Amino acid sequence: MLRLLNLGVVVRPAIGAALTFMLAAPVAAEAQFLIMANPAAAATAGEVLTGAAGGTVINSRIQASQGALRPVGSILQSVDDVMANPSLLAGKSPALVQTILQKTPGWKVETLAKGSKAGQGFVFREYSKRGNPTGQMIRWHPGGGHHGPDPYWRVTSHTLGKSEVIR
Amino acid sequence: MKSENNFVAEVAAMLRLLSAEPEVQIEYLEGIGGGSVDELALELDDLARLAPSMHDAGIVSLEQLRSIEAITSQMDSMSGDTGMWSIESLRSDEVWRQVRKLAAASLADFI
Repeated sequence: MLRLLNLGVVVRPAIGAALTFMLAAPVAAEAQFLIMANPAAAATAGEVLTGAAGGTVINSRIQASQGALRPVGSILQSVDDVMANPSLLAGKSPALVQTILQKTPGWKVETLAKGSKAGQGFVFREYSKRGNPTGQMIRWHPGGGHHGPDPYWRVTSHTLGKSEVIR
Repeated sequence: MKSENNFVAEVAAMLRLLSAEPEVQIEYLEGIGGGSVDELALELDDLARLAPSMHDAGIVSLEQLRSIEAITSQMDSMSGDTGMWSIESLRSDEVWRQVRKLAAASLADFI
């Protein structure tokens, strides 16, 4: 049995458009939601702010991208994917990751602030609307140095905490 | 936003690590998968960045904020290609002994 919700939803201004999703939600608690979105648009369901049917966030674990449906964290396409599954960074170059993530609203590109590689490396850090860091970040350390490690990633997310080293 | 209760606990855990003997610190670095000694400063830095807003929210006292700033300032002075970020330095360098003293003093403000 399906419960149909027709929501007029507004995504954040950076996306630049209001999208309408037709959501078909199985009543079973663990069922997957189906999202039929504008194929030309890409939005994260977790970014939904309001719903005409009184709904708010529908399911932050599902992303609609280019009309396709996939679980968050299955492939590296957004910050949400990394926060859900930091191991997606394994084997990825900082240049590639920066290209994918750099335009994420609220996130800023920085360098390592301390240590032997201060001013180097790559840090992608989330800030609140007031400009305060939220505690979520993605960090790449170039490794090296005398008996130093190989390059690696670390991630801090609100849900998973601090990751171990990822290579 | 990071949980306020978690924040104080995380700072205390970080300071406990920074005040620990070198072998404990090395074991930690190995435990996270072989991170650089830099991680000791970078993890502290991640928390220190949150401290001012936690102070504004009344979660961290001015005294606690100042003690975090003191140890992060010490880390700043060590940063760069200074030769102080090797396992060997962590074991024997006087500057790391100073870090341990500062961390132990700061930890007293958080427990």
